[in-house]
Amino acid sequence: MTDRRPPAAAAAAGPRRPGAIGLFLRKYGENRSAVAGAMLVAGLVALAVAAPLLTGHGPRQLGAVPLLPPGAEHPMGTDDLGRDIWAQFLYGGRTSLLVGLVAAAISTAIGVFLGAVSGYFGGLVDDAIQRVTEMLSIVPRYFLAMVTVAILGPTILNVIVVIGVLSWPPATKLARAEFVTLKSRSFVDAARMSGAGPWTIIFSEILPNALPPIVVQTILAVSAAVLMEATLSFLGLGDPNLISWGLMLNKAQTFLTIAPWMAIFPGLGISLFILGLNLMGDGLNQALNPRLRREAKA
Amino acid sequence: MSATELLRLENVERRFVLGGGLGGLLSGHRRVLHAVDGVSLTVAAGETFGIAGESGCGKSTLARLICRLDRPTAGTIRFDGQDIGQLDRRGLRRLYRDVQMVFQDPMASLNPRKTVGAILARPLRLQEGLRGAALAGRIERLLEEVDLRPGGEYAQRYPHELSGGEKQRVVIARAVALRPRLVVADEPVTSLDMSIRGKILTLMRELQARHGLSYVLITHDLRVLRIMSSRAAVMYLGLVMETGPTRALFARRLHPYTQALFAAEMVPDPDAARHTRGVLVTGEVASAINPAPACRFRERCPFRQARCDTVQPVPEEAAPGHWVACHRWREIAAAG
Repeated sequence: MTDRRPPAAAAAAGPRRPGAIGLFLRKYGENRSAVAGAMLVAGLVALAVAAPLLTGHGPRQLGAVPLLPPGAEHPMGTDDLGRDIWAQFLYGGRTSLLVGLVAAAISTAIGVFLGAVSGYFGGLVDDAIQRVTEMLSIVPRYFLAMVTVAILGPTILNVIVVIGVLSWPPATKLARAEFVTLKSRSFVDAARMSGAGPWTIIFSEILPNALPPIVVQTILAVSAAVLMEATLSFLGLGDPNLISWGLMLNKAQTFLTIAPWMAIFPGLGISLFILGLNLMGDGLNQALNPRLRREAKA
Repeated sequence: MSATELLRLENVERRFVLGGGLGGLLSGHRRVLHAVDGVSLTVAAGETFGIAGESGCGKSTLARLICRLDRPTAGTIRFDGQDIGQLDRRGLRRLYRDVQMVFQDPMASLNPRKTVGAILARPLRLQEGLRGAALAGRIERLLEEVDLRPGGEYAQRYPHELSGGEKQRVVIARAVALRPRLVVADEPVTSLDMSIRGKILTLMRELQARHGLSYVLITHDLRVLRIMSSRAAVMYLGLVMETGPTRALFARRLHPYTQALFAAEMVPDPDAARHTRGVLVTGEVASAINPAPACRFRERCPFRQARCDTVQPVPEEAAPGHWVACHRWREIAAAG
């Protein structure tokens, strides 16, 4: 307990606290690979967002010489139909980003809600939710996703929803474990004795304390969703109307020997994005997890 | 002690089935932990009732039962004449205006993500509907009542910015925020430094005098018991071994376990310590899992007899209000 100043002194020292956020940023900044990961992700996100500003070509605009290797006019070359790969890379990044973020948001929301209910209420509710979670976990996820998308039709909305809805088990397990631990802390009893109902306790008392590992899990869920979308697209189950890194890889297969740049750049995009997200997840885990933080101090 | 009765426990029992689920069913034998095994006691309005015992004797379980954070497997708990086991959600909310708890570990009992002000606001908002300036003013006064000054400043802070003693003051402020009639304090000073224990206890006594509170004070520290409580019970493995006015308990220890517990208490004067009467007990606390119908204390008791192994002693009134659950208390009292 280093900050045991009387409140008057604390008030005199300008901003009341160094702030949880400031502390977190400092801790995160010490981890070089985490910073590199964040920069990678930020860079790729910036490219995707600023796509129209960074290329004069449309991703589907024909006209150039087909299978042109990377050069001044086309920094990543052209594909079999003479379309600019740099433009495809930028616009494909948008798709990956959209799928990753929305699907991860869906899976985290479902997972955390079910895990919270499961861990907090326990008993029969817990058993029921956990059995369903286990059932979903043991069915190969990619197989299930492929079948579902094939049945529902490969639109971007379907792809996002299917990935999101199939990916909640890890978040559920994690949230449940956190809630089981936290609900036995006496501040939960105290809240109960303050007259708070179960939902107030779940969302306002326990959830904020369970958030750090959930944030980490969400980052990893984004990376898993990006990879899954790429896989589906590569297998021809992505939205054919939207360019994506997976779709680009799919198209590149035929020309792998004569135009390897068609595969290299989208592949690089996927790898770097996922690498960045994983490094970020690691860094966040270390910066947010009080147990690891304490070990680092000792 | 002619004051009105506030809390009454009748044969309260809390058992936990261990290793339940499918495995327990298949293996066929159930291990049942008798955490609280038939406790009866009453607490009068305005008094402090102490509960003493070693760790694992069921005193914390008893605290949770009284606060209805847990429910007894048998027996009834009446607060102000009403069986708290029968309360619905609205009744429970009303109960928590009158019954509050001070927890053992102040760190764990304050939500680390909430400011002191937000922590204290919750009961006032939910139970009294206070809002805005009225709420802020009430919180400030509440904090100053527990000697956290300036209250407005403390309300802004997070639990980790407080010392252990300050945290426990916040916990006490939360407990008395709604002017309850009964506060159950589970080892309120155990996790605090020696130097602040006295101050916290003094604060609790001041609040009691000001608001006419009753305390159920759970402690393993007999000095705390002696200072704070008017009546007390000594628990061992889920059972009350001896209960009575604190003064009588200290002066005339009838149960061998009470004698042992009190003998183990540290005495400041070494000479006095050498001459302390009482029995010394060896061995570990026995298990409260599937106990036999016998005296719980027999394995460690120097006065053990054949009937101690077969008959569970029934509490007998040795003196007015002074009950003891031992087959041989008469002989022991005569000898001692």
